[in-house]
Amino acid sequence: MGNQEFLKAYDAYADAIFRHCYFRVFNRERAKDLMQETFAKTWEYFQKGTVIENLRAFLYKVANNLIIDESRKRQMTSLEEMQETGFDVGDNSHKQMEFSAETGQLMKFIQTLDVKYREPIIMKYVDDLSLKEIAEALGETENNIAVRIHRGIKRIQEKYEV
Amino acid sequence: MKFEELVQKAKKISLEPREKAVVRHWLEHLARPVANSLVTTTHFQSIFSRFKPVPILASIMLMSILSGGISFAAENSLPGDLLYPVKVQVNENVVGLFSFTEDSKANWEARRVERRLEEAVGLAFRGNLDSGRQEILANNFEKQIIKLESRIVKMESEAKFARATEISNRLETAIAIREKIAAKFESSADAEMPTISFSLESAATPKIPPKSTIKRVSPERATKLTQEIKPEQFQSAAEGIQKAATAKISEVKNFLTKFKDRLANETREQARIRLASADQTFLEGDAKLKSKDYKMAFDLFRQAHRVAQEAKLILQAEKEYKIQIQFNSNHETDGKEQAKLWPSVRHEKVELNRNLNKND
Repeated sequence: MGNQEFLKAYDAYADAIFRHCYFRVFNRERAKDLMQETFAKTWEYFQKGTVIENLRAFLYKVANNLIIDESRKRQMTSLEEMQETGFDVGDNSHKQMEFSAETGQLMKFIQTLDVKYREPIIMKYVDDLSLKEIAEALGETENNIAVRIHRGIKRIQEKYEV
Repeated sequence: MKFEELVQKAKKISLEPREKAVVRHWLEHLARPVANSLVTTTHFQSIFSRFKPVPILASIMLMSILSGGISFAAENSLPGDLLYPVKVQVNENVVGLFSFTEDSKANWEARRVERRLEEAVGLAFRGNLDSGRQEILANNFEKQIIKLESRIVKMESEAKFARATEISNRLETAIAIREKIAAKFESSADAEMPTISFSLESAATPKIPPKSTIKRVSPERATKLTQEIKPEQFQSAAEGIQKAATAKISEVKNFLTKFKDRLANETREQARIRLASADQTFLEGDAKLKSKDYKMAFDLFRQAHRVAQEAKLILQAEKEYKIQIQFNSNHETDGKEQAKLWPSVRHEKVELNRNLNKND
């Protein structure tokens, strides 16, 4: 992987990795830092000679490891706290404030889901990753991932009747 | 709300184009090819420019060491990186072995101090200036300063005042900026900034490299030097530092022209102001030289050289790391400048944002 290929990967996947981090830490600035760190670490791994077969899946794997490290060091912002302080989704423009309300509803759905369901669901439906890529990123079998997605969707439907 | 609607809303969450561009810029720097590194190219060019007198066997040895992938890869490493010891203990020592004259040895040792400075800026930019890396950096910085100091003292004892002053200027300017970097981290810690780092490991308050290292070299060294020079030695000293100042001012002007598109307007303006000041001081020195006031000429050329050297480091910090170093406009020239680095990497991001806006 050359530096140009790496930058192309950034152009293609930066938003998805940011989103992935955002749905885990629920804070825009931290998600942005985690996204940046994900790409920096990935480049570092490559420089040290790590063989990267599927860059996209590898990026998610690195992001997940960073998120786990992050969650060990900081307490995740609670839903109650977010409801009191409002969601950190960017500037205060009118458009963003409308988006904030919608995002709040979305966050409520997503955050109440168990992380083992939340991760594969977001990766499949929001990030459009294949089962194989999700399995690789999460270190699980494809079968396990498929089962989790199925159960997760079922829980959402039961709880929120969507 | 249907599940599909939820998914569509989730997909709308993305980075702002500006945010994405800022991080991309940072990654471009991180992933730049080794051969494009300013440090690497200028440095290796200088090695090969000295290649002629080297015996064939030694040339082959040097070529084989430098052409090794590890050695080249190590050139871009920073304290704490796997290849950093190769950079400092192999690459740099090899170059030192092929510096035959006192002059070239002094140049190389001054360059090594500047390399440690660049590493500090690099780590600050990366947000990886944790306590372990700082310790490595502080130790290496101290070692280089000790070596360079003894070289300067030797030059002075041999009445090579112009060269001693030139090298001393480089050392003092590097130290002044190094202090500002340390101060930056102090102020970040004091202000309880959320983080100075993109790295989770370095979220703890960083330790500042021991200041004893920095204080060992007096900022007034060059001023004191003028008191040590005998009256009959001032003419050659003034003419020597005049040449050095001419070369330095020219080097910085070329740098500014070559990289103007990659520099923020404020940085270009700061450099221009300092270059104008260096030019003016140089002209005054020239007038004093013609009127045979060699002592004053020496002092003025020394100041012109120093101001140009500061401009160079300001430009390099901006070009390489997008870190802006601010000096007061009414600058003086004996280490009294109040340089200021942005108080945190977060602020650097903001500043970089502004720069990108201006470049639109």
